[in-house]
Amino acid sequence: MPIHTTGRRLGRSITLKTVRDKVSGKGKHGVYANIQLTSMVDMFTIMVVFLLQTFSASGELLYVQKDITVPDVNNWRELGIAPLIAVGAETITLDGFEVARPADLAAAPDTEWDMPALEEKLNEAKAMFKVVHPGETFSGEIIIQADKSIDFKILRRVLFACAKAEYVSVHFAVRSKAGSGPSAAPPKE
Amino acid sequence: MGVSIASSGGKRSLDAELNLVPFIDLLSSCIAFLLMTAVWSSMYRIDATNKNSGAAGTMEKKDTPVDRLVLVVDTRGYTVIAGKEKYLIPKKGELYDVPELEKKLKQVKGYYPDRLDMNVAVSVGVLYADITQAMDTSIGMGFTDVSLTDATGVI
Repeated sequence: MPIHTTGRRLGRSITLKTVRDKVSGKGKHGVYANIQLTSMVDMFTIMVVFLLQTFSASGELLYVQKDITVPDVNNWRELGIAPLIAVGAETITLDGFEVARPADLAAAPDTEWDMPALEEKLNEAKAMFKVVHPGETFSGEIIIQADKSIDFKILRRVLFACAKAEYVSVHFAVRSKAGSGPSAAPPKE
Repeated sequence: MGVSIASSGGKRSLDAELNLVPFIDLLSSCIAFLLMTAVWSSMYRIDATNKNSGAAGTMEKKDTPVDRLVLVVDTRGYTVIAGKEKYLIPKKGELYDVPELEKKLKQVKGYYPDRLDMNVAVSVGVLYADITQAMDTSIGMGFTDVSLTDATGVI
């Protein structure tokens, strides 16, 4: 019996060179690397859960203006869609169009209540509502987004103009305090 | 789901390998959708009936006389008017005494358990934050039908 030198013999009978090299351990390392997927899937799952918790089906109905800080309350309700009056420190707008400047209103005497520019725009909005919704009754809803530091003297004139234009159902835009919940709806008359 | 199978002759492995590709695809799609539709600053509302439509401080005339429930907010503090009774809750320094107002409104609610209306009458010089705080407190005490008016002539 001939004497052979020691060494590997496993897989010598395999004719395909690539497979033989792999089996005998001479093959090159693969170019593919295994990614550790567990941590990535964990992170994705946490993100999905967090985003689902913060998800709001009603969407963002109005944007907070830069110079307006709305107050925080405990008893709030969901916001609907209505014309928006934004009362900031610099300007008062109706759906983005400037109607007055708070400084001018503050300088006026206390007996001055009228706000013709706003009233006119509100009347236009009301007329537009009646054109767009011919069969529906006008609800008179309006959203007021005012800064915390606005004086009632200014707000009163805005409310007066709203009332004259038959916008009597006022919704003040607010934020919810942490841990607070929606309030019960008042009964419909 | 792919299952790893041992070589022929051996026992089948008990470990099963999940195919994670569709799972990761689903998670990625969910994250993309939720990020695009995320609302980071939710706004809510607090309701009031606007009664600034004429003579200041007027009350609605009804067929049956009812005791008026008014919460006056002025620069001195709160004044709760329930029928013929008046309770003054002065400010504590620069701040309004909200806990005391809560107590008083709770007491008034005890007298008028069926009433849901509260007329918040505000005078010039009061800030919007203090108005909403008074309205919020009223709603919290069960007076959910809040109306807002000018305080001139109410007291």
